[in-house]
Parts: sequence; structure tokens; C-alpha cells
Amino acid sequence: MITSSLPPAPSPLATILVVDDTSDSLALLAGILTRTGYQVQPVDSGELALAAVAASPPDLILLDVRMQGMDGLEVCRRLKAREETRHIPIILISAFAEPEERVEGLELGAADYIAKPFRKKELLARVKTHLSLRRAEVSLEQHAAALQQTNVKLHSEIVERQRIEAELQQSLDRAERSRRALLSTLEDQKRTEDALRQGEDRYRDLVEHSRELICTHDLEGRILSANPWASRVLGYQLDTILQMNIRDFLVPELRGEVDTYLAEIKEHGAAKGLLLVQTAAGERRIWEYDNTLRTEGVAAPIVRGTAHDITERKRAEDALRESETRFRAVFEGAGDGMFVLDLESRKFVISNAACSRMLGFTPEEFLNLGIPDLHLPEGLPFIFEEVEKFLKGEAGVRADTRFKRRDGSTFFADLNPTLITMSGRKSVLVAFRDITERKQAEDALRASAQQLRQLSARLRDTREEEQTRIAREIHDDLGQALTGLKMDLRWIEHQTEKLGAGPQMGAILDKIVTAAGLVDEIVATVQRIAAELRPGILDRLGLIATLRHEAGRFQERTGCAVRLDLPDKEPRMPPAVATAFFRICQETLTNIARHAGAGSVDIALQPEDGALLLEVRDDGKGITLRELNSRHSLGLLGMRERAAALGGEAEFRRGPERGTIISVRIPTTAAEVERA
Amino acid sequence: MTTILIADDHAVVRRGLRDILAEAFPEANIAEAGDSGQATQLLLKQAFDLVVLDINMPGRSGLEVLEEARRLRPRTRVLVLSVYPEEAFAIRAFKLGAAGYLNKQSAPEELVAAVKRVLAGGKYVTAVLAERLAAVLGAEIEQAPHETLSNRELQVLRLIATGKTLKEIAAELSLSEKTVATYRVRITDKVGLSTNVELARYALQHRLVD
Repeated sequence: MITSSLPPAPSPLATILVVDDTSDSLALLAGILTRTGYQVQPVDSGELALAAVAASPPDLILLDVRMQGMDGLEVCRRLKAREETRHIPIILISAFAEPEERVEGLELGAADYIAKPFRKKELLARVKTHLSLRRAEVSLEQHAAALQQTNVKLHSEIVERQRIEAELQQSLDRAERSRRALLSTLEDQKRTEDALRQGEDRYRDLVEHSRELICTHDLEGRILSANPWASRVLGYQLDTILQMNIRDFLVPELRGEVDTYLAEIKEHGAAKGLLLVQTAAGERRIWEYDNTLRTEGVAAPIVRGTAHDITERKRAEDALRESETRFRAVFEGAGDGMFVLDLESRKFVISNAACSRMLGFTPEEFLNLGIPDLHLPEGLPFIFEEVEKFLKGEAGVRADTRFKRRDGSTFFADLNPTLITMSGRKSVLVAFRDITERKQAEDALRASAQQLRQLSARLRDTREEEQTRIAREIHDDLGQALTGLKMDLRWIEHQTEKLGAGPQMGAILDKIVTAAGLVDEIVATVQRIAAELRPGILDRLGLIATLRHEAGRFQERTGCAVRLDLPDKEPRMPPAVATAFFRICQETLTNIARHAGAGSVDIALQPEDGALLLEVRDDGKGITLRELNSRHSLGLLGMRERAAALGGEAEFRRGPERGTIISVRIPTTAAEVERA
Repeated sequence: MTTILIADDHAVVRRGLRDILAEAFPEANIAEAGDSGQATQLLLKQAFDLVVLDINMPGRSGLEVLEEARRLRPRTRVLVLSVYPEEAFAIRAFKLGAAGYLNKQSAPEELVAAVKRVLAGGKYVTAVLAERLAAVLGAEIEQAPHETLSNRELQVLRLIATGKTLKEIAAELSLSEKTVATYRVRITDKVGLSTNVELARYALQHRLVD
């Protein structure tokens, strides 16, 4: 560990070797320096100087350049040439200092040059400066040595930490860079230390706050260290954990497995897997661990362990698997055919057994099919439209669709699509059911209903024709015969009157008059029956006249006011249309008389685009919804059917305030009938 | 000499009509047609003073024969007979140029009165119909309904007007009360009135009683 304090500086009692072959000069220099507090060793020749340095290296040398024998420059050269002495600062002193001589001295490695005669202050200042410089240099060297030592230690730590934490590596790199910088300046060293501290702090923080259980244990399973998370998830105090063995954390029935684990990690240097942990509270949790053996840099091998709780994940996985199994069972076992279509690629993703059975493709074949392989060309636009809708997120609808089997045969299916996400892709789960039989039954029912309707229309027409024929026969044949009979009776009456009066004649007249009265009654009855069967006025004068007449009769019979809004001229229309309008109006008036309790009725007939529109509205109590929808409203049904048989339509609704409105629209031109 | 054509497809009715008209107009020359085709042919051949036309004939309808008659013989008067009580037919008939409209069930006296009126250049409708037409057309139609009463009916009307009861009238005329009641109904139908007071006032107004 590096400390922030510097190693001890050279003692203030620095040793200075003074070399001068002039004794006065030597004494003067030694005197000055000794008085200043330096320890001075004076020598008077170059040879002696070299010997003195070899015996005990001084902190500084004051060296006279011009000397007998070996001169100062030579001494300087020799000292600087040797590794042991080159670092000693040398100050050259010369009385005849030529510039060349100075340059030579300095080039040889001398630290400084003082010219004689020198001033005492200058000498001392220079000496002090160079001693300080030297001290600083020595101090720097000592630091370097200390750092070197620290470096070695750091190195082992870094190696260890590198394994655990990549981020720490980065910090250490930075520390390493700082360390190199430290070699040149003290500032750099400070930065290095900071970086190191930061790195270690980060590493510790990581471990302390990790959401991963981090621990070490020995090869017996004894816990050596553990992070706070271990305490949190296991429910034991950290102190307690450090006294425990890893087998204590396992559920009782699995504690024996620890030996197997230890054996494995000893053999392979690593082990990972799942373990069933029991917490202090007795709760069982599933953990996933990944442990490694460390043998380097430690006295005894230790195991580095990391583990995390995967109980929830495990449960979710189990639930998912179970759900998947259930889905599979339902999907495969379903009686309905099912497949999943990827909406984007329009490829089939999966299909069930019923699907294979119904369509004749194996599941493998099915996956290679496209939508067009399953439908007739005319059905495709609808299918693609539905796919587009699904892509836009619009809900699909149940639909009846024709499917094509492998052998080309087809069947009707009830299609029930649901939007799902499968493997993250928008897909649609389609369930379908063969409804051929239902469809056939529906078609048969429809055909049957159509036949019934035709039959009913035919019956109605036949009845109308029959009624018309009977009405005419009764009216014409019977009625005319009666008319003739009555004329005869009146003639007889007339002749009898002429024969004179008298009781006998009176009796005869009585008979004749009674007979004539009887005939009158019979005629009235015959006319009424005929008119009820089929009003002759409809065939002879047309719809408008008939409606007027019916309205008049209705008003007379019920006292209910009838307002008419009819065209002046009879519109052109086929006889069947006139009959339908008349019968509907007749039925409506009957209904009003029976149920409505109306005070007035409005009847309007008007031409409208090749059709006629009849509207009858009353101010009675109004038709109820129930009556409208009742199956027993055969009268209303009959009116609808009458209009429908002619390509028209009848509508019944409640009036805005009260009463009932009946609108009937029937085409009057062939083109309109065709269109309808 | 008056010429009359009876156009009716029922022989019984034709005979009845002929009998009534022959008696009322002994000097008239009466022809018969059994269907519309025959009627048209006769109209082409000969000018009649009057056609008594059944509106309800097979083939082309009586109304078409009426139009044809008006076109072929504008001067010929047409009295339309109908079995239909509805005034709609009457209006149609008059629009097509009929001179009179009469229900076939009407009494012989009415027929005779109608023929007389029409031959004289007038128009004829029954009182009941006149009332309805007036309501429909909004016009008053002048009538002298008692023209249509038979002698016996006129007799009964006078007796009612003098304040006699049906029983008294029956005794005086040697008839049953029921027959007198029937006569009274015929009278009220023909003149379009209903109460005895109204009938008495009517008789006084038309100087039928002294």
C-alpha cells in the first residue's frame, strides 16, 4: 500500500567534499561551509578526491578546476562515468574561467560553475540549491522504489479483481496510467492514488449492493465471505452466515448433494446449476448458481460463488409450460378444425388434427399452403379483406365460408377468427366447423319457405279468381233472374190493382206485395254477398272509385271520418296490383274498425317512380311492437306477402303521436317489378 | 212513333222491361239486344229515340256501349240501368252522356217516369241517388218524385197525409197492414222522406191533398 507521506530527506548535515590544491582556498571554502553547518571533507588533489568519494560518497562536491596532477575536469569526468557516483552533484570552481572551460565542465555533467573569487553568499546559495535538488532527486528515487513495490502488490490484486469485475479493470487501467505518470511528477502519483481508491470503492460498492448473492467458501463448504444481499435473501444475519456451511442453506433432503458439488468443483474448477434453498423462515426457493475455484494468490483454494433467485421465473416457466400443454391439448383435441395464420406473411403456422381430418392435408403439408389453396377463387376477396381488417386491428366476424379440401371437393364452414399474438407476430387463430348439413338444411328450409310462399300466393290468386267468378255468377245470373222475377211481380201487382178493390183482391195484392218485398230482400242479400266476395266496382270502375266507395261505406258503418287523398284519374296498373291495394286497404280498414278505436282515418294513394304508394293512417291507439312481431299477426303477414308477391313492400309502424301508419308500395310497371 | 231499344243480356229482364214499357207506351216500337255487340249493330242500323241500357253486360261493358251510342247517335237518349247501387257508376254514366240512371230494382213506375222524363229531353235520377249526387257534386238536383209513385202508392200517401193510421188505411183499401207498410216504405224511398209529418207536408206542398 502506498502512503501519502514522502520518504525521509537527506539530513541537513549534508556532507560536502571540497577539492582544491590551494590550501588557503581549501581552508576558506571548508571554513565557510563548516560554519554554515555542513559536514566538510577537504582534500587537496584530484586523486584524493576520487578516493574519498569511493570511500564515502558525499552529498555534494566543490571541485577546483585548475589543480596540479589530475585537474578538476578529469575528476568530474571520472565521477560522472561511474554509475555509483554520477548522481553526486559537482560544482566546479575556477579562477580563470574561460567560457570554453565552463561549457566543457557542464557538458561533463557538472551541476554548476563558480568563478573565483566568489562571494560567500553565492557559494552558499548554489550549494544549498544543488543539495536541495539532490535531495529531491533522492526522494524521487525512493518514491519510485516504493511505487515499484506497490505495483507488484497491485498487480496481484488487479489480476484477481479482473476476474470478478470488468469495470474494475477499466479503473485499474486508469490507475496503471496514473502510476506511470506518477514516475515523472508527484501530482500524477496523487491522481493514481485517487483512481485506485475510486476503483476499489466501486468494486466494493458493486459487491455490497449487488442483487446477486456473492460469496466465497472453502472446499469444505464453510462460508468465508458473503455480501449483504445474501443476508437479505437468506434471512440470516451476515455474522451468522459467516459461521455457516453452504449445506445449511439447502433444503434438508438435498444437503447430501453438497459433497457431489464440492467434488465437481475440485475436479473441474467450476460448477453451475440449480439448487433448492431453504431460507431462515423455512421458505423454499430455487436458485441458480455459477461458481469457480480460485487457487492462485490464495493460501488455500477458495470457491467464488454467485447465485440468484429464479423461483418466480421458474414458476412462470412452469405455468407457461402447463398453459402450453393445456393449449396443446385443447388445440389438438378440439373437434373444430383450427389453424393459426401469420397475418404478415400469410403463412400458416400451426394446425390441429381436426383441421387435417377435415381438409385432408397433413400438418406438414398444411404449413406449406397459402390461403388460395383453401378456398375457391370467388371466396378469396372476402378472405383477403378479412385479413386486411385484422391487420388494421379491426375485429373479425364469424362468417360462413366455403373451404376446399386436398382432393378439390368443398364444404361450407362456419369460420370463427380470433386475433392473437404468436411468437410476437400478429396472427389469427381460426376455428372452423363443417356446416354443410346445416347449410343444406337451411337451403332446404329456404326452398321450402319459398315454395310455401309461392303456394300461398297461388292460393290467394286462385281464391281471388274464384271469388270474382262466384261474385259475377251470383250477381249476374242470380241477381238478374231475381230482377226479372221482381219485374213480373210488379207487373202482376199493377194488373191486379186495375181489377178493382175488394177483400179478395186485397188478399191477392197482399201476397204479391209480400213476394215482391221478399225478392227485394233476396236481391239485397245477393248484392251484398257478391260485393263482399269481389266488388264489381273494382273491375269496372277501377281502384280509385273502389277506394272512394269503400271509404264511404266505412264511414257510414263506423262513424269514423275518412279523409281521402287520391289521384283524379285512375293510374295505370295491372289488375293484380289494383286487387292487392284494394284488399290491403280493406283489411286495414277492418283492423281499424276492430282494434284501433280511431276517430279518423287518412287514406292517400300517389304515384311514385313507376310504383304506387298507398298510405293509411289512423289516430287510434296504435299498433304495439308485440303485435307487429307476433307470429299470429297473420293479417299483417298476409298484407306483406301480397305486396311482396308483386315485388312491392308493406310497412307498419306507429304514428309520431298515436295511431298506426301502414305504407304499401307496389311497382306498377314491368320494369319496376323486374327490378324489385 | 217512339223507338226504344232494350239492351240487356238477361232475357228475363228484357221481357220484364218490355212488358212494363209496352204497357206504358203502347204505340212504341220496342227492339231488344242481348249483348253489347248486338246493341251496337242495331244502333248502326237504326236511330232510336231511347236506349234502355244495362251497364253490366258481358263482352264490352255497358259503359262502352254508352260511349258508342253517344258517338253513333248523338240524339239518341240513353237511360242506364244498373244493378250496382253505388253512385260512382251513376256519375260515370252521366259523364259519358247518359240521360238517366236507374237501379234495376226500381219499381216499374219509376222506370216509366224515368223514360217519360228522358224522352221529354230531361235528365233522370232517383231521389235517393239525387241526394247522394248532390252531396258528391255539391249541386241541387230538382225533382218531382211523386211522378214515380204508382196509383196505389199515391193513394196511400194521401191517406197518410190526412192523418190516417196504417191500420185504417189497410181497412179502407182491403189490404193487410203489412202491405200498406211496404207501400209506405216504397213511398219514402221514392220521395226521399221518412216521417209521416214530412210526407204530409210534401203532399200538401204538391197539392196531392185538398
